[in-house]
Amino acid sequence: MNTEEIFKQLEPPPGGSERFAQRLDEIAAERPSRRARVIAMAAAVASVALVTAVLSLRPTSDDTSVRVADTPPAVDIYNAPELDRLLGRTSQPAELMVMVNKETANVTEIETTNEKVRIYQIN
Amino acid sequence: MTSVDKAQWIDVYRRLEKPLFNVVYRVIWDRTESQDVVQETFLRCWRRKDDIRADGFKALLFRTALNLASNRRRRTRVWRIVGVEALDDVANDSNATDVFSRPVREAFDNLPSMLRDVLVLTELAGMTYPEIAAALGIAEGTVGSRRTRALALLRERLDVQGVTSHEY
Repeated sequence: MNTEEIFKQLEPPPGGSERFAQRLDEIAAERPSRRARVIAMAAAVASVALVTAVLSLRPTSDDTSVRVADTPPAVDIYNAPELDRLLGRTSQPAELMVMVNKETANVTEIETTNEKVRIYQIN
Repeated sequence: MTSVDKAQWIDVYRRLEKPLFNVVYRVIWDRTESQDVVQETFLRCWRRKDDIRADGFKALLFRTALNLASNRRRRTRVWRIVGVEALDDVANDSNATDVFSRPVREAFDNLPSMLRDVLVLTELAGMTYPEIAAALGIAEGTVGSRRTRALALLRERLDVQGVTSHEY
């Protein structure tokens, strides 16, 4: 046995090119025209967009935005005094209330010479 | 598809049918199936013709043919396992046994596919090492080493005379 025998070149069955030409024609005939492909693609994109729009606009029972709108705001966060310094606002004086043993205690302000310091006496 | 376009593809088919057929035949060992795979290879490339570069066409053809041949062979084996007798005959083409003895076929079949692919492309497709490297996505040096290993395995199994490495 030698390499010529192992790697002998065989002739393909006859009529291959004719059969190939026939298959080429069949596939070309099945192939949709460029216009048809563009229309099909546009229809598919439009369908997807429509479904997406419907899904995104449809209200759901657990929609958090509805619940928030229906509930009165507990705290006006933006106007909270805690944000005055952050937002560069001048702090407004607030009434001080101190609770001792769940009861309101009397608070007396003691005068100081420093404007930035406030001292209170709790009775 | 214009008539010129079609004529060109048929012309290319005529020129490359034989080397492709011989490569595919060493994978599936059936003449009719091999020719079908060659045609399917061309049809797949034709569908992608707008994306194909001329310099990579030959590599693409042979890579596609080898992939399709491997798939066809795998499918035939599965059918054989599930006991479809009619399809069992596909893998036992009488023409194959006329040309190649069973030991030759078994020696090819038992080669690892990465070695077999290199061997059939170097010996049957007339491709250069760079072309094979491009087709299989491996380095040119790897082509040579795999060819040497494949030939050594064939020599062991078949007691082949005159199988020697040569450069392309």
